[in-house]
Amino acid sequence: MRWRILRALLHKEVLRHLANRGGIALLLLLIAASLLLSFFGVRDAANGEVAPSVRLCYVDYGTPSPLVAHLRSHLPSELARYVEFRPAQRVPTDANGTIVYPQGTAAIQIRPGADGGYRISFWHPGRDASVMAPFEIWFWKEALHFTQSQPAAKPSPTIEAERLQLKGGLDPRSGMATALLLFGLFFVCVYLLPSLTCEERERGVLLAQALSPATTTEILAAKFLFYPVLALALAVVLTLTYRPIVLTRPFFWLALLAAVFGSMGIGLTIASLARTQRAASMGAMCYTLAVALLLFICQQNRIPGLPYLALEYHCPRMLHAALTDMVLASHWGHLAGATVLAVLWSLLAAFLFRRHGWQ
Amino acid sequence: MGTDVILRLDDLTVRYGAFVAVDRLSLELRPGELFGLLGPNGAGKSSSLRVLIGQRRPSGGRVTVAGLDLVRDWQRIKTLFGYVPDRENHFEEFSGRRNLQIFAGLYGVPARRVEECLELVELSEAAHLPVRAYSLGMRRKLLLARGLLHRPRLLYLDEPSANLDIHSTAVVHGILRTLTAEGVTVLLTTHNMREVEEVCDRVAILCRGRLIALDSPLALRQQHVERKVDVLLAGGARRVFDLDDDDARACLGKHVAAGEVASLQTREFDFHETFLKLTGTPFE
Repeated sequence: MRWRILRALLHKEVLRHLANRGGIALLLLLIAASLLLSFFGVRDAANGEVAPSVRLCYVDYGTPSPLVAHLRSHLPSELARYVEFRPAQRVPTDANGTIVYPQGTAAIQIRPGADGGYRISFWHPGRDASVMAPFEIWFWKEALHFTQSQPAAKPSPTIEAERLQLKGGLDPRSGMATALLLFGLFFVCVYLLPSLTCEERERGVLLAQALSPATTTEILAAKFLFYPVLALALAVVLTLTYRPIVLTRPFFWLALLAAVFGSMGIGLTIASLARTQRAASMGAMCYTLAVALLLFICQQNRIPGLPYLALEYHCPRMLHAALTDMVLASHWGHLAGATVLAVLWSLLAAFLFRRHGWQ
Repeated sequence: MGTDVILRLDDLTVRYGAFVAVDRLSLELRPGELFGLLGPNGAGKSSSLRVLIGQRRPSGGRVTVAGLDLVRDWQRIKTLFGYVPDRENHFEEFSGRRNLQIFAGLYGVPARRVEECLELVELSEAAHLPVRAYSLGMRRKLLLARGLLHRPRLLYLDEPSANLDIHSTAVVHGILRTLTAEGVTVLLTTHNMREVEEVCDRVAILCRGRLIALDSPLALRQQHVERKVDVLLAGGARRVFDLDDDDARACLGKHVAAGEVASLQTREFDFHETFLKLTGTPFE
């Protein structure tokens, strides 16, 4: 690896991007959007919450009880896919011991109450408790059947209930900031990189570079240096306008690096496979849409496992956690997953590019 | 000849599946030689060139450049040759000068060499203009300038005079002659026999991947020119006299002495006829 050649290749990339007015305009738009969000975005998550929906309701219980057993055995088939029973030991908590529920979920917590009764807490996302209506109807109907089924000699257990709103939630500001950050990363690495690389190939300039003393490894290294730096610089600017303090968090940088190198790998894979600039743009768009659709289908149908194979599943979660300073153990898991995927994508991209990417 | 050979092709074979594009082609090019590869479309010129510029591995045979094996020593060979493709491949958004500066950076040549090359191809005045504003001829001259940046020992040109006007063609041919005088070996592929005759020291004629003739253009002309004369007699009759036939030659002499010849025309070397005679297929 020769620095003289790397420098010449990097200089060429800088010049090409400075001449690409469309790309510069979009990057500036992203920064402008981030500034607008920073100055005018709603800062109170509770007031500005995105209208929530419940795709999963947890039934969390301290100890197995007859009521829990009854509920479990009387779960209607239409709700079966949307209800999950969990003992307290399996419920994730943050560093302070507070129970954490993922976005789009609600919970029915069952605790022992006074005189052998039960204390029930209905936790709903957002201000509108009616989002939990199907689960509450089921619960109360079965709770009534349960009390009625008790032997007459035995007093019916008392059931105290309360409704509570889950704190936090996806506030528009942090959600938008995460979206802008991800869009910026994917724009640079999954759109710009394949598009400009394939343009070079289509024009034959990539071949001209490959016939110069620059080796394929050096051409590849220059791309692996330039695009991540551009993506990181954009991410830093966007984060600065949102919450500068986040830049001091190691988790943010780790998450960002995993996201950048993962998206670089995806972009370079597309660039190596596509023959023309048009094919590269189409490839980038189709990839993004296909993954979004796949994740949506998996989420709606609760298909396990498959989403973990997509970088796009891990990135929003870990970056949002980093931006909001709410990093849980699960986010470290997402970081590990994203890192593994980033390495795999980068290896695939390097293999494909070295094999026939420049031809 | 041994060490005096800059480029050697030994039984070079290029296959695309079952199709043989180049069939056991053997050539030797000497330093300072201007060599033409001539042939119709599909003759194997481009496939041979693709091997020489490392875009394709030979299916068989061996290629050496300055004694180095093309496959094994590719990285060392890359600095020895310059390549001028048939299709221009510039950074359209940059000026001609910027284009050369980028490649000068890759080759590690000083900035003044960029100006020298621009001057050589008569592009100094247009060097500041973006390439997208260049004419086809200017773009091709810029390609030549890029190919010469690092002072290669071997220069490959694919259809060098395509899209060039008469003056630019003369400039390019002049540059090629100067280069060969300095010891640079030039290998050019072309459809154009006239170009070969004007500039090449030797020419190889390819057809369907096979070498069918290898000689100097003059020798080819002498070997294959038709020694016949078309005569229009005073009475309006047309006759053809074969100059290799003693009787025909004597008969022509009689007609000329008797003042019966209205017009007389010798047959010129016709490359297309020669190609047809050599290969049995028309030059297309």
